Amino acid sequence: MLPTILNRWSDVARLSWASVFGLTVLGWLVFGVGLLGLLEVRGRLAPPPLSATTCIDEKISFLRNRDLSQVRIMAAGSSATWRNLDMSVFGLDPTRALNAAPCFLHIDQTAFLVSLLAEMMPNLQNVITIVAPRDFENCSPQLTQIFDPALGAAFIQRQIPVWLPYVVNMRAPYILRTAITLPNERALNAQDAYGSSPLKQPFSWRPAPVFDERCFVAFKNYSLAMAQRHVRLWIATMPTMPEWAESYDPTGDIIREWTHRLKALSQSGTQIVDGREISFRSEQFADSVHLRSPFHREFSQFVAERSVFSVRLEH
Amino acid sequence: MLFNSVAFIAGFLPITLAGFHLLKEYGGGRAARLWLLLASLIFYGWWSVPYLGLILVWTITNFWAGRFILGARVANPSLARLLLIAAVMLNLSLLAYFKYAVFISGNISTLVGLDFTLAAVTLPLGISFHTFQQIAYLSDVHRGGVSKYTLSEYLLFVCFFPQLIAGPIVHHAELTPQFHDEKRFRLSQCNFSEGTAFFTIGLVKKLLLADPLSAIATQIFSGSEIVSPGFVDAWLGTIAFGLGLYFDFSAYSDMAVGLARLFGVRLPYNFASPYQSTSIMDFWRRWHMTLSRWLRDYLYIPLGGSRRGASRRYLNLMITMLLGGLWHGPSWTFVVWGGLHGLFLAINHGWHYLVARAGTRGHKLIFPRALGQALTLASVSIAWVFFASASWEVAWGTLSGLFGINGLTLDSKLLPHILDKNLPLLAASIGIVLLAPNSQQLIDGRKFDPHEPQIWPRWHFKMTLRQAALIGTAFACCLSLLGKPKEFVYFQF
Repeated sequence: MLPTILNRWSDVARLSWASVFGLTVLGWLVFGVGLLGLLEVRGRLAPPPLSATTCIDEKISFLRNRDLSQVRIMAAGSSATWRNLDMSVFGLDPTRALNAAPCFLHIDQTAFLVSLLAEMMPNLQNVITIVAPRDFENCSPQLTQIFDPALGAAFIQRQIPVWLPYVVNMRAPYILRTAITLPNERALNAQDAYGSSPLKQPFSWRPAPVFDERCFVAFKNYSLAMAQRHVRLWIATMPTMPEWAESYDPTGDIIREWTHRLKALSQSGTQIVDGREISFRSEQFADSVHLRSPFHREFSQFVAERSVFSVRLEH
Repeated sequence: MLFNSVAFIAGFLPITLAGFHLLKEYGGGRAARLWLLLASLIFYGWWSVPYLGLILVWTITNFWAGRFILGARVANPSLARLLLIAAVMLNLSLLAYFKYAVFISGNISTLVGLDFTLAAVTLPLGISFHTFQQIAYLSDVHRGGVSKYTLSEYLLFVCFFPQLIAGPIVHHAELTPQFHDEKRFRLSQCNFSEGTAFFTIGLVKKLLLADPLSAIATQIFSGSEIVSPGFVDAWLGTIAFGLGLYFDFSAYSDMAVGLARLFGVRLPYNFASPYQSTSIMDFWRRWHMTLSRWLRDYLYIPLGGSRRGASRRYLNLMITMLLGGLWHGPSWTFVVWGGLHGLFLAINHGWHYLVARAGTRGHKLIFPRALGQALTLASVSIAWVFFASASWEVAWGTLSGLFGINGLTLDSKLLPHILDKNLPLLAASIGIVLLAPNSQQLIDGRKFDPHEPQIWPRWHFKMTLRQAALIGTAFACCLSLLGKPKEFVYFQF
């Protein structure tokens, strides 16, 4: 009798272990979902974490809410494209001209993003990328895919619900960190209807020129991929900030050599718009990679005239 | 499918476990075994359906080869031996084709001066591990004393998903009988709690320790960030690599042991606090233990082991370690890594010989334990440089950095990065590997080792409700970190 009771008691105790484990996990999950809901209500919930970089994920969410099928001109690249290109200069409405550039991207990552988006844009004719030396500083293959392409494509095309990336890419520290910084980031990164986000205030960022040879290979592949798609690729180099040039390139040799390499690597269908043909004063820059608003508009006009408009004139 | 992915934890595992439990309760052991086999095949096929076909054909071929060897063993021993050689050669040829073809063709091309190289083929996941398991099976069948397995039993032995991709390298005789042990082969509270504890420890190691440590080491060994690191960078990178690799692979092994335990199956342990070793021989008793066992039983001993004199023993040791190095990857850096360990082991054996000889003459040679541990750690760390490096340039650059040839690095690139974010991580990791009990000591305690000294007794696993809540909390924390799971390092081998 006694052993039987002890065995039964022991079974109950053991059963409790699994129950307590399961309830604990469930409790934390409910807490986590509740926390996400609270952050959403307070406007502090990070966008669906495809890349776990807020400005990239904000852009991906922006693209999800757009009809991409009518896009003719797409700008894509790092923040040099996002901040400096005013898409309204092309004279198209936001359904046909789109600034899909997020931030941070190196040239290989730009190529990755453009390839993914081009699949969703049957009417795409022109891609514009503004590049600075900083876009060529690190093209480690491990970092090229800024997010899972299958998940990202399905998300942008609204084939999966908006909550799914939170589940499959859950990163609690990122969500919590972003909750603190999100209002400020959103104020700084506000986008117009085209997806552009010009900078208004100055920053002290002056990155030294560092080139990764893999980026030049990635650039060539990017150019080749666009040629294969029969999409014209316009690569506009950033005008040089005089203050940056004094520190890192007083003779202009570095930018000259870099531009020369880009031209040499460009495949058929790719045109380089040389940013040295237009100049701005140091105080018209926000930092060495971004012009301040409204000076970015003058640069955008310059790019438009040397790229898409020039083709129209030819035809 | 990675163990540390949402798809596995929230989808595959609960479904497999529930199906197993229901079939075991209502359909019996055979139905449960078939379910596990089906789940294991889906697990592998999730990665690649064509390669699932490959592993199936490969395993079935070995099964029939084993059957033929078994049939011929008594009646026609020479035929059985011929069949064994043919089957082993077939296994090695397939391994060579998928894993070493580019390496071999590249070397031949360099030697003969002709420009021909083969295109790289996608390496089938787990190929190095299941090839060794199957060679061991064939070899044992030839030696005799092996039970006659059914095809489904043999398939389950090879494809059992917890150990399929990266080991532990399980012996057929220790795994297959467990599938028939009615008392153990079931979902029980004891199995569930122990398995969950092992799995959670593995998740914690992988997510909180291995991944961030490997990010530090990558800066040195990928060759893209720092080409010739100074003394500080080289040592920081090497230490981070050694720690990261240990946590990564032992995490995988813990998770494999835990997953198998959920089904009532006990897999052998793969690591036993290797950085607490006091000699290289001790290190190889504690590091990737199932590989060491395989190399000993199916390579070193068949080569003659220590039975043919001291010099032959050293030669056998060196051959075993060189091939063990090559097993890890198609690169000369892995061969050098194995060769270095072969050399260290030979020195270690030589020392033992000297101690024994001095003993016979009434002298006592003593090597302080702490010094032994320090020397072992230093030797292992230096050898890791070859294991970790993406190229010879990186290996020599890092090695010269370790010996201070590139300077003491006053402008260290890694130090500010570590001081800024990773100092607690690095300090905790060093503390854990040098002082803490390992997973099996914590969970299995004296079931694992009757003489286990039970250090840190409060941390030992008990089936208490408090520990259930603690492990549940740790598990939930890990779930919140699962975004962008990183592959385990040993998947590439």
